[in-house]
Amino acid sequence: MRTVLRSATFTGGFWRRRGAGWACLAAALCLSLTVASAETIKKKFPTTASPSFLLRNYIGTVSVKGWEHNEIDIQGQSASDAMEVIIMGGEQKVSVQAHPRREGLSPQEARLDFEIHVPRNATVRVDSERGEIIIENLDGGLTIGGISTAVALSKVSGNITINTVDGAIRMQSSQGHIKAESISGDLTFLQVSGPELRASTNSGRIRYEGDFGQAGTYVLNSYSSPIDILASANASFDLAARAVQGMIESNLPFRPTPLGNPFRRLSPGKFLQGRFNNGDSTVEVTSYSGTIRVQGTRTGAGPQ
Amino acid sequence: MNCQEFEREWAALEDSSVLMPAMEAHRQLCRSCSEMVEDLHYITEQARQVRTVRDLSDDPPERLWPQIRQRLEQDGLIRQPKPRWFSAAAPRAGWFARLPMGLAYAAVFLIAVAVMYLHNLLQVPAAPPLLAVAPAVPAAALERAASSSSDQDVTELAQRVPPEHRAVFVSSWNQVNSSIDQWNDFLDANPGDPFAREGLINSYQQKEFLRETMVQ
Repeated sequence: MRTVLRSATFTGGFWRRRGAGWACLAAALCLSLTVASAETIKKKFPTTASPSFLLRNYIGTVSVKGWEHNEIDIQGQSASDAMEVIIMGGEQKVSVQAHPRREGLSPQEARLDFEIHVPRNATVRVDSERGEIIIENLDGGLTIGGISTAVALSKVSGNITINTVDGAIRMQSSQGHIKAESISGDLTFLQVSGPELRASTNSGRIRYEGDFGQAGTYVLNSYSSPIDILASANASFDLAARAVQGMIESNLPFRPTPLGNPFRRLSPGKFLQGRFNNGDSTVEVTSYSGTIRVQGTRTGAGPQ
Repeated sequence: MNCQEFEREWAALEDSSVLMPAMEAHRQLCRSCSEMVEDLHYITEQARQVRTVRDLSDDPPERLWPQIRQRLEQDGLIRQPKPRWFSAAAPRAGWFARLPMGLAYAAVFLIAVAVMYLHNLLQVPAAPPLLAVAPAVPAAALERAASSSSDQDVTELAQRVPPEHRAVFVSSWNQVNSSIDQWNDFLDANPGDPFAREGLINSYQQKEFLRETMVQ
């Protein structure tokens, strides 16, 4: 049976649930401290093993962590009562939406922080305009949208899509079909592998550090910013890198592979193609005016 | 120590540049053994040089081999042996009689060079990597992103973006448009560059993402 909870249960209800005396005392305290009233949100929903979870926030830190319980646990802290929070939940789907109660809120007033636990196989979507989004231990698929939102993912797998305007995206120890795009945010991938990684930015720096997995496709694309690749010694990939106005720098011993006709006349500083170890994965790197650097990690640069 | 003992001891040496005192004493007394040592050191040195050259460049080792051959011929190492007419009891007149040992060193050297050369020849170039196919982008979205009229719409949209985000959107929009212009110019001059085409598509997608975000 689906449980639907409306915001009235949580928003602004704290003071109404207490007696008038307590409210007056609290109001007096608030006035004396000149601090907007804060509100704590706590709610749990029993769910299936793979429910959907959706959260839309404006400003604040959103942390979503996977756990082994078939339950979604939501804890939130608002900086003021200027934000309305609507929580709707059932076994298959839980959603949290924050709305400003009025126009022109300051960032301090609109701030809402969430700490949420979901089943590890939950499908999660989080949108937040500013602040941070932190996701850990999820296997069920993930979609993140942000404007100036810093996104940090760790130990996630599945279909993962991240879009920001100028928020940095950082992924660590993750795998899956991954698409990460930002207009000007930096994109960092540490030990990220899987069948597909597509990272695109206009002016943010791209950094990949890892072994490119097995038989995956990795496409790193920037317009004006540098792309740094640090490949571990056991990495195995075919590289095709193209810098139009920038340069390509590499200290990895690539085995040459036959060049296509359009690229025969290009110098290695503009086009680099080769195989590292057995060439299990395919890596394609393009930048218009950024520098592309391909190096070995500190633990070893040479092929095994 | 006689010449035969010297040869046996020489063959057993791990480092031929350091002779035992008895061998050194014999070498100083026996001209033939002294010449043999000198020539074998020369061959070893040439082999080292060949290996160094192979490490530093792609030139074939044959370039150096004629020099070695010429030197060996000058020294008589690879000439046919002449019949011995002196007494077997007398000290040997030269190391010519022990020619097979020198040739053995040269043969080992030649085999090593041949193995290295064949290894390089047999190392077949890897197959060319295929360019990853860019995900399909709806043609309508690309057309809309490319049309100039859409920029007017976005100007209106940007006015409705909250002030704290407006500067970011305007800056990003101009930045993406500039990158589209650059990629287009480059593709006009280099229509066969698949990387540039993918870069242009990415810029179009970024423009579309900005528009959608502003609408939301």
